[in-house]
Parts: sequence; structure tokens; C-alpha cells
Amino acid sequence: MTTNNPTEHQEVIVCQDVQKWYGDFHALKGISLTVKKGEVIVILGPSGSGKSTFIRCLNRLEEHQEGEIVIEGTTLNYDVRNIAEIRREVGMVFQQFNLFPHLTVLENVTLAPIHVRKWTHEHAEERAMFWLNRVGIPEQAHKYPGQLSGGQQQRVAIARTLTMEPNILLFDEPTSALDPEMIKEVLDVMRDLAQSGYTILAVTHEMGFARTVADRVIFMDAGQIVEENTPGDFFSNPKNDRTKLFLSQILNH
Amino acid sequence: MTTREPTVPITRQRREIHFDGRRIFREHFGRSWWLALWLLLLAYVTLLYTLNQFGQATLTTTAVAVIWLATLSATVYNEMTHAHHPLTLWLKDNLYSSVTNALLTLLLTLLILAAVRGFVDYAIVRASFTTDPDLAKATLAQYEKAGANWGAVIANMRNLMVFRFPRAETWRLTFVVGYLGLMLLASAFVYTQQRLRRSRIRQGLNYLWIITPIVTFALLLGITITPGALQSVLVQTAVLLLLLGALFYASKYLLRRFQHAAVGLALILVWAAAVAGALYLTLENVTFRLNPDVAWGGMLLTMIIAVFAVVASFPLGVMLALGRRSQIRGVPWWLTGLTAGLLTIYLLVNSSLPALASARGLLGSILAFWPLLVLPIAYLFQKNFKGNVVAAFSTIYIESVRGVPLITVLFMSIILFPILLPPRMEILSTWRVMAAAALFAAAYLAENVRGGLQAIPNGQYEAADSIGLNTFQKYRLIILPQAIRIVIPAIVGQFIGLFLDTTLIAIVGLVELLGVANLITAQPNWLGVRREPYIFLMFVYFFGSWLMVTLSRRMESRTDR
Repeated sequence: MTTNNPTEHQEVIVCQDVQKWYGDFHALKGISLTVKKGEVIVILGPSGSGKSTFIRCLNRLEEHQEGEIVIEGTTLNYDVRNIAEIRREVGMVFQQFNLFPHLTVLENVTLAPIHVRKWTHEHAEERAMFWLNRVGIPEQAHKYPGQLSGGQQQRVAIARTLTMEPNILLFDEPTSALDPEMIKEVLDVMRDLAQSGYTILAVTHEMGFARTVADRVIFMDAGQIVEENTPGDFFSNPKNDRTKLFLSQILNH
Repeated sequence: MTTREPTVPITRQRREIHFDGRRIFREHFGRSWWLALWLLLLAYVTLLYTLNQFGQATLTTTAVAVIWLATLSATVYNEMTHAHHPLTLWLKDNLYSSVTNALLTLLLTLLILAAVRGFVDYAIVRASFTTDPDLAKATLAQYEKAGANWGAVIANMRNLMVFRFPRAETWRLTFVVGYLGLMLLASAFVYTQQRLRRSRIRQGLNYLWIITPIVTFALLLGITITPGALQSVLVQTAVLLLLLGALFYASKYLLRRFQHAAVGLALILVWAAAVAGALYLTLENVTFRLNPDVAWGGMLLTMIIAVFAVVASFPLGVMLALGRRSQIRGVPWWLTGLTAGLLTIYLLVNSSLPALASARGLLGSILAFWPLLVLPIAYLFQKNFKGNVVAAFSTIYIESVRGVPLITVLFMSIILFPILLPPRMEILSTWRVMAAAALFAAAYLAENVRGGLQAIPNGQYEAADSIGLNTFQKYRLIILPQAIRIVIPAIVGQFIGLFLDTTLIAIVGLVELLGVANLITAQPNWLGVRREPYIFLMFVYFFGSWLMVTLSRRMESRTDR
């Protein structure tokens, strides 16, 4: 017993036996996971293992068919009010950035706060500039996404997510579509966020990030969580055979 | 010093001629039999036509031929010496790039010159411009081949523009044209200014545009205040505007304060009641003097129908496109089956049995069982649309309308529709034709917009979802702006077609621009006038289409990113 503060150990994401099928294909075979506030979790696994599907279930971009997902006390079900509530609190960053090409960077970032949070334009723009500063590209605010490099676009996408002031951040392979020299600028931002107390779930292939930043590493294969471990043990001392194979494949080339 | 070195000119080097006759022959003539034959034929036709034109218009033809020969030889010489002047380079790239093109250049220049000369001769030199029919007849009689009798068009200009719109009410038209002109000018300025994006001016202009159709239609219908009621109307309008304004800001506040669907629904009801009440109070003190079936005609009617069809079909088309793609949870199969079964039994009992009793012959007896068709229809509905009523309705609507020619829809609206109405209820032909044009255009527009929607990557939907936008915001802010931008060229093409297709309503009896032109050719004091009104129409429609194309190109280039 180190502390009595209830928020310290608050469980912000609770998944119970989550199942999902695409037609006949069983994509998620009973995922159970509990995430505490402020935890940084990296999800690893071979392609097709269901890691993207899983985190996309957390804000209802995909629908799970069985099991229960509770996020900050709100159950994710068909009720659109719950979905809206959860999407306000959960931010997501995509592999392909998915910025809105017809809006300027600033409009991209302020859109959701103005229309979802109902902030005034002035307040939204002030917060947007704060976050654009934080990700290091305030000078690009009036450009269009098509005029930016991949790394800058991804940082705009992160600012767009953060301006909504979410408590939980989902990263879906945020660096996979980037040129190698741009990966670092995005990882630096993510590292910065991890240290500022956000609850983060990241699907990534950046082993360095997983090793240094994650509180827990989760390894998924064929729709199941195969291993759950601290990064230190996961990389140096994996328990599961499938994990060992995966690590040998990615580390020995 | 007796011998002088041969001096090399510094400014001008001698040109070396590169000429490879065999290569030129191989590349330009000997590639295939067809090419040789074609060149022979083309050269023959060009030669014949040029000689023919020498006889008709010696001076121009000689000038053209000399210029052609001179520029062609200069180009060929420069090409052989590998030293092009910018002009000859342009000529080589655009006019003389091959033997075929060189010959075609001459042939087409002569053809175009002949056509232009013929038209100028007909339309200006040998034409009459007087509006006095007798004088025009005398003027035209002096020519062996009489030219255009523009007097018929000029004398009928008012008919062409507004047809039977009462002269006493012309100020209404002047006002509407002036108002719309001002609005368009203001919009052209305000909507292109980045710094006015969120300004009050722009908002005010938006509101003005919303009331513009009401103002326009009211004026064109001859809205008149009942004598003696002017004061009460003014007071009433002021009060109503204040109340509606207050309601507007109240609902804005309420929607922001209580974000709940019930509030929205209640506000919609309140607004409907408020608008209905305002209309009722206003209509009490005004009358509409003009009957559109009589008063509207010519260019006025063409413009009203075209603009209405464009404006009204747009939201309708977008909704149909979204409807066709909708993926809402459908009616479950058992419910469809149950409903269809009960309906079939009900119809069999109530319609088939009496029909069977009075049926004559085998065919009649078989036809009496028509309610059985409900079952396969229900089956197809479930199979093709999985019970999705919205998608089924949109798809069936779009495909049925696209399967019917516009003229059929117009005839249906004029001839069939009145039969379907309850007795003693009447809708004016003008309204029916306007509705028909808009509903027709909506189906085509829906398919265009659907094409744009399909071009939007899935990631845009996901991003919009993930930042918490609701479905309406997602489409309004993210999806539709992009989708419609993609299909602007297609939509403008469709609207040009619609504008030109308004001529079809002349066939169903409304006298729009083409109808007036038809009438002019039948006027006794302008006997013999056949082509002139149609030539005038050609220019009007060409100008209208050109305007739309130019505007759309502006819009595209502005949104090109």
C-alpha cells in the first residue's frame, strides 16, 4: 500500500473477454485487459494478429460482438450517447494521419473543439496554437495538410487529437507510413506525451520506444494476448515461445 | 599584304542544311498504304477547294494561300537548318507538325473564312434591322439573296425576355434583376475574401441569400398589400422579424446549453409553428396579382425553371446520394415477411374475391390475383436491400427517374398528374413543371454526388468519428465538402444540360424562350421569318453555358489544392 489516492490506481480501461468476428474470421478471441490511469502500454504482434482491430474497438471504429469494454466508467455499447462520450475522451492517431485535406492545419485542429466541445473560435485557436507549439510546428498553422511532410502531418494529427483534451490516447502504428528520418520527430512527441501523464495505448513496431517508454508490453497473436510483461522482461526474458520467435525475427536482421 | 584571310561573319554563321529525303519520305509518306492514300485524298480535296475559293473570293484566298506557303516554307527551312525562330517553332508544334496538319491548316482556314464571311454577309451586310415590317421587306427586297430580318427579333425582344408579364408591373422585374445583381456582386466579393470568413458581413449575406428566393417569388407573383393595410403590414413585419430573431438566438442558446435530440425536435416544431403563423398573418393582408401560368414566359420562365431546378435539386440529390449509401439497420426479415403476408391476405380478401366474382374470361381471373405480387416484392426488398428502407427508396427513385426521358416526366407532370389529384384541387402547370425538372435533376445529381462520396477514403470517416463529430457534422464538415469539390465538373456539366433541356417545356405548352421563338415565326406581320429567332436563341444559350463553364472553372481553380 503506497498510496490511498483513488485516482492513482483508477482503472480507466477495462476489457472483459472481447470477441470480434469478420464474417467467419475470428479476429479477437477473448481479449481481457485492464489499464490504469497514466499507464503507457505498447501492443506488439505480427501482422494480422488483431492488435489494430483491438484498439479500434476501444473507440468504436470497429464493433465488438461479445464481451464488455468499459472506458472511464462508460460502457461501450449501441447507445450513441455512450459512444459520443467515449470518443470525446479518447483520442486516436492513425497510421495514414487522416488529416482533412480541405481544411488548413489550424482548422483541422480547431474543428472538433468548436463543434464537439462547443468552444469559441478564439479559445479553440488559442489551445490549438498551444498544442501546435508543443509538437513543434506553429509556423505551419495556415498551410494545408498537402503542403506538409509526412512527419509534420502526423504531428498535426497528434495536435488535433490533443486539442480535444482527451485522457486516453490510442496510437495505431503512427510511424509506419513515415520515412525513417521523420520517425524520430514523431516518437519524440509521443515520448513527451507519455511522460506528461496521458494513458497511452500504442500499436507500434518501434522496439526502442517500447523498451524505453512502455510500462507494460502486450504481445498479441492470432487474436489473443499471448504475453503481458514489463518491457525489461519482455525483451530480455520472454516467457512464451511465440514471443521468442517474433523477437528473434525482428531483432536478427 | 596582298592576300586577305576570308573573314568569317561574326554575327551570322552559315546555316548548314540537314536534308535526308529518304528519311522524310519514310516518316511522312511511306509508313503505310493508308497514309499515302489519305494524304493523296486530302491534298486533292484541299487543292480543289482552294481553286474553287479562288473563283469565289480571289483576294482573301490568294492572301491566305501566300501566307500559308510562306510560313510553311520558312518553318521547313528552319527545321532543316536546325535554327528555329520562336514563331516558326510555334508553327511547327501547332499547325505544321505533319503533312496532314499542314494541309488541314490551309483547308480549315479557308473553310472558316468562308463560313464567317457567309454569316457576316447574312447577318449584317444583307440584313435588315428595322422594326417596321414593311420597311424591312423593302430593304431585303433589294438583295438577290435576302439576309436576316433582325427586326422580327428586335421588335419581339420584350416577348423573348418576359413574354406576357404585364407592362405595368415591369418595376418588379427591374427590382428583382437589380437585387440579384447586387447580391451576386456582393457574394463574388465577400465569399472570396479569406479575412471575411467568420465576419458578420458574411453571416448577414448568408441570411440574405436564405430569404432571397422568398423575396424573388413574392415579387414575381405580384405580391400586393391590401389597400389600407400598409400600416398594419409594416408593424406586423417589424414585430414578426423581432420575434423570429429572438427565437433564433433563443434556439441557438438552447441548443448549446442542452445538447439533446429532444430539444432539437422541440425547436423544429416551434420553428414550423412560428413560420406558419408568420405566413398566415402576412398572407392575410397581401394578395398575389399575377398568375405564373399567364404572366411568366420567355427568358424569365427559362431562368426561373433552370435556377429553381438547380437550387432545389441540389439538397435533394445530396440526400438521395446519402440515402442510397445508407447502412442503417434494416427491417428484420421476419417483420417484412409478416407485413407482406398480412397485406397479401388482406388484399386477396378485399380485392381479389370481388374481382374474381365479376371477372370475365381467364385473363381477368388471373389478373384478380395481383396481390400475390406483394410477396416476391417483399422477397426482393429483403434480398437486395436487407430491409434498409432508406437505401431501397433512394435506389428505386434514382433508377426509375434515370430510366425515363425528361420529356416523359414533363408530360406526366402536365397530363397525368392532374388526373391523380383529388377533384377540385389544382396545381398550376408552372409549379408542376418546376417540380418535375427539379425532381428529374435530383436523380442525376445524386449519382454524381455518389461518385464523389465513393472517392473519399475511409480514413476520413474514421478520423471524423474518432474526434467525436456526430453523423450530421461528419457529412457537413468533412465528407460532403470534399465529395462535392471532386464532382464540380460533373455537376456543372449536368446543370448546363439542365439549362439547355428547359427548352423541352415548350413542347408541353409553357411559353419559355423556345416557345416565344416558335410564336415569332408564326407572326403574320413578320411572315417569312424562320431562322432569326433561333439564331438569337443559339447565342443566348451559348452565352449562358459559357458563363456557367467559366464560373465553374473559377471555382475549381480556387479549390484546387
